[in-house]
Amino acid sequence: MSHPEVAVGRLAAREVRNGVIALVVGLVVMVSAVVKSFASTSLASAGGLDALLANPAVRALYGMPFDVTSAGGFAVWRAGTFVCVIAGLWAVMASTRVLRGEEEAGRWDLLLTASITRAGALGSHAVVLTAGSVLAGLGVALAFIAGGEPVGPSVLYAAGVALVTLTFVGVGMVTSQLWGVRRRASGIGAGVLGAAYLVRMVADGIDGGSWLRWVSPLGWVENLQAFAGNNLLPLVPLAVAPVVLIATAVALDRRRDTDEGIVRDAGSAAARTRFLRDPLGFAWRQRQGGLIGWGIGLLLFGLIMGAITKAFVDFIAGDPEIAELTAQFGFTSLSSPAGFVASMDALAVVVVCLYVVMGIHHLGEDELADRLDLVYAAPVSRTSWLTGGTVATGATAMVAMLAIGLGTWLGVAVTGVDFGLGESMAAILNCLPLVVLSIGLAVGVHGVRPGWVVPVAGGAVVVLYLLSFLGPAMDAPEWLIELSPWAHVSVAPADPVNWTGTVVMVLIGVALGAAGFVGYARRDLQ
Amino acid sequence: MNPAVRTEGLTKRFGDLVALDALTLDVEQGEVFGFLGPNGSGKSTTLRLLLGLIHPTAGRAEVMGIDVARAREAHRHLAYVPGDVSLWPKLTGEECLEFFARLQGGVDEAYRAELVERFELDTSKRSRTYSKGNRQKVALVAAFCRRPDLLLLDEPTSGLDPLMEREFRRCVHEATDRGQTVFLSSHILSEVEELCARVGILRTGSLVEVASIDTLRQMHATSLDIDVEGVPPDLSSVAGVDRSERTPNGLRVHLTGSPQPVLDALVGTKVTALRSEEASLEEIFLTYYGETYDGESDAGEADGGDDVAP
Repeated sequence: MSHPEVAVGRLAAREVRNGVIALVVGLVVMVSAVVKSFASTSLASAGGLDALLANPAVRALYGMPFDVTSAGGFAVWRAGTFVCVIAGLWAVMASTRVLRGEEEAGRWDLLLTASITRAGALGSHAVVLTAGSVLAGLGVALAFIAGGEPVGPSVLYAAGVALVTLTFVGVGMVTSQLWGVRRRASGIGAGVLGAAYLVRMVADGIDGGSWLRWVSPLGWVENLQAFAGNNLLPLVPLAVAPVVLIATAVALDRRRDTDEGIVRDAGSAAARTRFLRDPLGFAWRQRQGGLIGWGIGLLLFGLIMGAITKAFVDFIAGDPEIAELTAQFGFTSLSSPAGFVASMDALAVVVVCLYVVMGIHHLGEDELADRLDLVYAAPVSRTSWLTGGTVATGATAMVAMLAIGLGTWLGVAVTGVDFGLGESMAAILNCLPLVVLSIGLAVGVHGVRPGWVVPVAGGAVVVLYLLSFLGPAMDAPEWLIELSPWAHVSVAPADPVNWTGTVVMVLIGVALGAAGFVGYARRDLQ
Repeated sequence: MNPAVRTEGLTKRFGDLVALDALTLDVEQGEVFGFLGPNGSGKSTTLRLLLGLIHPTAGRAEVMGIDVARAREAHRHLAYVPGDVSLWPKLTGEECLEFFARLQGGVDEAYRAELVERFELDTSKRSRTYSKGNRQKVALVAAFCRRPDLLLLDEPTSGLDPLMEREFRRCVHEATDRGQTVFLSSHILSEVEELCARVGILRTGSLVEVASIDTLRQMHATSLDIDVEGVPPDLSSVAGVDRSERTPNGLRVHLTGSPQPVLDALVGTKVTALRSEEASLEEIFLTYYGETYDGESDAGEADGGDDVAP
């Protein structure tokens, strides 16, 4: 092959192939199911639907319902946010992994000895990631068209999905230039996605906030009003943003050295050895830095959820018919602040579940980078090292959950609703079994194969959550929805805690974790 | 006294690949044992088995009389230096050393400070900024500063400059003076020649030779240049002679073992000069490494156990 750019592109394509396949299949299944279920759902004809959709809290959660009387418009509203967030998450993770991750691992040193410039290699990767984004859009378009929806709006919406995905590819490309450590680059990229989500939430949830939609890439896709107004204008920012971001990445790339980011911390530092005394202290210290970012993000998330509680509760309390209707959306017992907060916490805890999966994944990362060889040459057992990592991960999860609880309480309190801190904490802690289950699953996978923790355990969290949240809208059979742990979390403290479910989930989590410990102690280090 | 390292039929397979095939070996306490072999011959696999990082498919191993499966106990007696040291990029050298010290226990801090000095390591730097050689130094300091009974060293000097390599050799001499055992996997023959009394040579997962370096030399051909007056005798059929060739002034014979039969055969011949040349250690090793060793060179290049992640 005489064109090294092509060879590098092929390498990149191999690196991202599995992720793209999973993403496209996931999007197609999600969209098709929601489109298909529209015919059988009673929502379209239900009387109070318009009123329900006018509710700011519902809009904050799902997005702006521009026209939900067609299957296409309904699916865009009901699944659209999930589609964009999942595609965006893929974009950030994939781009930072193939760019910063590969470079950090030292593989670009060799790559760049070929007759290729770093800008050329960056370009090859950009082409491949663009292709991935286009495939995601294509899958969405096909899902709509196969579902019998008109081609024009289907293509418009799919273009929006492809471009928003590419926008987050651009975000990942920029953070990969800015920071020299992949974990940092992907963390901050994911933070940008989270911020885009929060901005969209506020834009849709606050009266007079609709202009804010123009600030968030997720809002741009909404503003397309696919299957409703079919507005072409948002295609402008959607097309410009990736170009600007990728151009920025290229410009930043020119101004840095290989293996370094633009943002560089000092090469030397005073030793801080307080936590470096045993496996637990070490694991805690490794997770401390990231925890601050996650904690602040989740606190903000809680604040916004708390702030919209009043609007939602007032609205529901006024109309029992609507209360019944909301139950069809997967919400029950929503007439009290506690009920609403509990429902929101079941969503917020998804972030914590993914966070703990990443916490266990770091153990595998260290292992695959051969950093544990020297640790295990010391009199340290596999069990004590894994215990340290698991306990530290659990502790960070507790902090993250408390941040949600605190943020939510503050948010509710500023709107003058009577809602105690204890209730807020009870609501988030009610979701603890989900976190235990996630840690258990991640440790279980780690005990078999460390490289599978993110795809298997992280994938399971996303799929199982979507199953419970989108399952009813997808006409999924009851038994399938029941498979999701989220189906077994009650809206405590508004309703009594589902103790049976809680105990069963904790037991399953502990069993999976225990299996992981046994497997880890027995298997070869990789 | 237990041997420092004992393996019995130690075998490791990765799928179809036999990375290590029934290794049986004793390394006595206080010995510096050289472990040699081409890339992929199973040296690192052996060390990883001894450390319990990977588990044997068959056979067993002990260090200082403790089964390697009981890693916690066994590791109190040993330290390890891998050939390519990976550290946490954000930790400084000092933080890494301190962490390993706490994990391992039994660190002599004064000696550690001395070693840091001797290896000229700037421990205030984050390990992200370290070169390969500097990361190697961190592992060497962490290993030597505990004065463990057994040092498992896997190409420990790769990346070190010659001055630092000399420092490393001094450390090994100090360790053996104290009675510590060193198990040294290395490709640097001068290092092996200086440090090791005995070597084992691995080839495609099998141990092909264990001998002292002196024995190895004796086992291998010495060339003898014999200048004679008149017609040189035919020595090609004399016991021990592999090959004989004419030189302008006489003969060159390549022989294995004692030169006595050749000397006997020369009785009656007027010898004007006699020069003997020993095969260099490098030549000896190369015969094992493959170039002239019976035709397994293909298998030797297969992705064997050395750098293979399962």
